[in-house]
Amino acid sequence: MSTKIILIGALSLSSDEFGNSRLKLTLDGYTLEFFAQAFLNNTTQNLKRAFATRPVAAPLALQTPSESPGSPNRAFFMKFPERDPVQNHTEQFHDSEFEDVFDLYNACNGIVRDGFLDVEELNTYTPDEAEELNVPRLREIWEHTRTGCLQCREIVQALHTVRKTTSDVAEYIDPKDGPELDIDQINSIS
Amino acid sequence: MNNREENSADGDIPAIIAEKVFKKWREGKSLIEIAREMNLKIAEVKRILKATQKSQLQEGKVNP
Repeated sequence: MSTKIILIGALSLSSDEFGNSRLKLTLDGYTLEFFAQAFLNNTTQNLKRAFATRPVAAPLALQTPSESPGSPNRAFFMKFPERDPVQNHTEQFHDSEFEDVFDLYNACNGIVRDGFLDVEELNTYTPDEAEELNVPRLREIWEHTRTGCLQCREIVQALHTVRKTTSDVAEYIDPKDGPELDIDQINSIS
Repeated sequence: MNNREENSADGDIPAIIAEKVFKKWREGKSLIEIAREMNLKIAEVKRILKATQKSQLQEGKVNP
């Protein structure tokens, strides 16, 4: 099975930006251009995760665009420019729009075992829950924490401190603001 | 504007929701427990909680 390389010139495209982007594909002496969204329907989330988890290259199972000649089963591989600075690579574990060490901490409920967040906690989720939490990505982050990353350790400690601090949350929720809303009546906030 | 109508650090989330999620987390509740008790999606709790935690840290209450 042949493969194609689709080069994307930027790493930080939003889904909207990406939806308006055109991809240029050159192979076997011909060039195709098409709107990215035309064949990336329903894969935006995969793409966003790929950006977050595969800094160098992300093979994705994508539909062959109808404009493309050749086999309809042809696979496409998306190759992203490599992030040069090591710092940029590690920063994604500490502060990311997607999953980072904060999410790992929360998914593990702050439980620490042998000096690291207890990765076994990730096994307690149902498949649906694991998908929502992006457990594979959380495992990558956990592997990063095992390198002894000082920043991860500090974030975990800071979250422990925030959670255990004795200052009353009432300073955060002013009772004079009025009656509380019935949270149970809220099905979705999005 | 009433404080309860303001948005949280996340921007899209009513502050009262973020406050409730954060309070439950500080009480030791897990993501799943919070989602069930507040009838929210896990992904929403995850997003709310992280935004609130980062906001707390950035405010300098605790430096990571």
